[in-house]
Amino acid sequence: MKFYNLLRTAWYSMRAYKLRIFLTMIGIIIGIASVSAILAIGEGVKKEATSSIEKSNLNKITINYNAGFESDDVTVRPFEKSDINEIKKVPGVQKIKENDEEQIFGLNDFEEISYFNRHTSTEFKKYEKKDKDRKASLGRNINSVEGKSNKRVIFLSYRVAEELFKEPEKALGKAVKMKGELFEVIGIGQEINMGDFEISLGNMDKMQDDISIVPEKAIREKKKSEDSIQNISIFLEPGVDKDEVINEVKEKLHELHPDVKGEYEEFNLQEIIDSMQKVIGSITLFVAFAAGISLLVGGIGVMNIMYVSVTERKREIGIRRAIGAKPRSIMLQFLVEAIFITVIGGFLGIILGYLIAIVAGEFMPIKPVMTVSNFLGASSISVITGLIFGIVPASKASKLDPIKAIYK
Amino acid sequence: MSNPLIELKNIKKKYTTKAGDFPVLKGINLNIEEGEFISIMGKSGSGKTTLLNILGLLDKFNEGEYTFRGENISNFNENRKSEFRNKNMGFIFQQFHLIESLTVYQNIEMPLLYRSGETKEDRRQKIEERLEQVGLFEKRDNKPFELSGGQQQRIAIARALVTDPYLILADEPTGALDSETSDDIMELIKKLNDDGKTIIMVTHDKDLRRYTTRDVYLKDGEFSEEATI
Repeated sequence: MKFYNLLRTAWYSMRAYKLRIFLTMIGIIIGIASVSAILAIGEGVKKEATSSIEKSNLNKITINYNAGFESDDVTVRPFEKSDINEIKKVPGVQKIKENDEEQIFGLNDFEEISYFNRHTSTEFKKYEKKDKDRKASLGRNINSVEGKSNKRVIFLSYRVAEELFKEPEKALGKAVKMKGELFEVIGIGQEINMGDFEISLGNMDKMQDDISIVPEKAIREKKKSEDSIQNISIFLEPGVDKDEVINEVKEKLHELHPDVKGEYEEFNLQEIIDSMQKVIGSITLFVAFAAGISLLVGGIGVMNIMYVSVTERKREIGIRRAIGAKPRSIMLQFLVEAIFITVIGGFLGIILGYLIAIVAGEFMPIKPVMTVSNFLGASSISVITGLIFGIVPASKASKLDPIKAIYK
Repeated sequence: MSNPLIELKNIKKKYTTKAGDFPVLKGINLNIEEGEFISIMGKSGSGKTTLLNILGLLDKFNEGEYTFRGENISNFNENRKSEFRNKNMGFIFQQFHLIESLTVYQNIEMPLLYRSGETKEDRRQKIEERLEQVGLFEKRDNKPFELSGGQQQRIAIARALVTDPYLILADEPTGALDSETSDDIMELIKKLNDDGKTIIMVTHDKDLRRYTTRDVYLKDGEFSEEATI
């Protein structure tokens, strides 16, 4: 039987049992809807997370030195001050920064900070122009003159002030110790409520308030006293081929340091994004899989109704066999009917799931995204469900003895 | 053609139960020529329906040989049997056996859907021709339950004819009809025979003998003389 006629035949028989088919379909609709809603939300989380990381500088790449197995040789100096000027000549490099601290995240530094016997850690950075608008909840901000100086003052994050002094207002005028130096507290930042739902992936900017600031040169002086460079950060010109520039920089470094046996490795924000996406992706998949259990229940419903259908239509099967239907045609007919149920159910489920995701998105700081691959994935899951749960009843139908089926 | 349409040689069939073997057909020999209208008569349990089903390749037999137009079809598998039925045989049942969820037109179309190479237009032509032949053209879009028993049987006949088979197998075709309608149906079947179709009919109604060209009598799985029934 031609495929088109097979579809037509399945359609006619389904029309004869509309209500029953629809009730069976509900199971599939719920199953597919929950799976596709979760996939859409997961995709939205991925996108949101990526875009908040991308807000920080994607053009900044940090190059570390990995000594590898030859690490016994502690005298190796993988970076020299003189390298900086050489690397600057590599096309595509805009700016270079040397770092004396091992940097992990590439954003800001973390440092232990103490007031007598109280300790905590703070994210801190050096004063930049854009910090001049920072609002202080207590005391005052570092002004632009101080900012460029080497004055040992500090603008504390509210959280740190609270942790070191219990009552933040007591911090003003006190000296706190960081990197072995004392800094006078002149101001305290805005209080941010960590319990606030808004502070999640959706609002990483606000987290920037949980930071302490010191004048530019207050730290640099210290840096000068240590001459070993742990890594360098390269700022790329926009639009250049990242990998190419990185490779050239690496080659340059090897050229400048023929004696080092280890590898120069880049620490790339893109890699963090990729691995984060991977993590979110697998969590989403896992949850979607859990939701897929409801699909199993729906699938069993389809199997059940197909069994009923085969039993009820024994005579029809017998007649069809008598007038020339091969066992295979009968099997395909019932299989197509089962797939019909799951595909139509699946399609409605995808729409419903997306609507659920959109409604859910209203209450969350993310925007659900329906991707083509998720759409195709959900569609093929519904076809496969129909296949799996339709095949047993269908093969039962195909094996019926025509005589018994007719004269039953 | 020198060969008969159908040659049955020593067909034996038994049902195996816990209590032991129960023979239904005990070595049937039967030749049927093209153009014959044969009735197989006998009481319930004589094996006549089983014989008809064997002739229609719907039932299996344990021993013997079945030759159709010179071709030995005794050992066909299910797929070949299905194809063979579709191509060469048309069935008419006592209970009509139309499919309730399909229209009259779709019921007649069904056998054509199980063969390849027919366009929609080919099918339409054949179906409409058969609808005219059984006189129910105007009922083509009705559902079977909207028709009388006699009309349903006419549709079943149209369905059996639509593939233009060599052989029509009819199992008590008038068994569910009143006598007047029965006569109409028998006239229609007789007319098919007059046009050259070979027909094998199972019945226990001796009155139907006036339509047939030959009658065989089955008793306890064997052919016998008429008088003994």
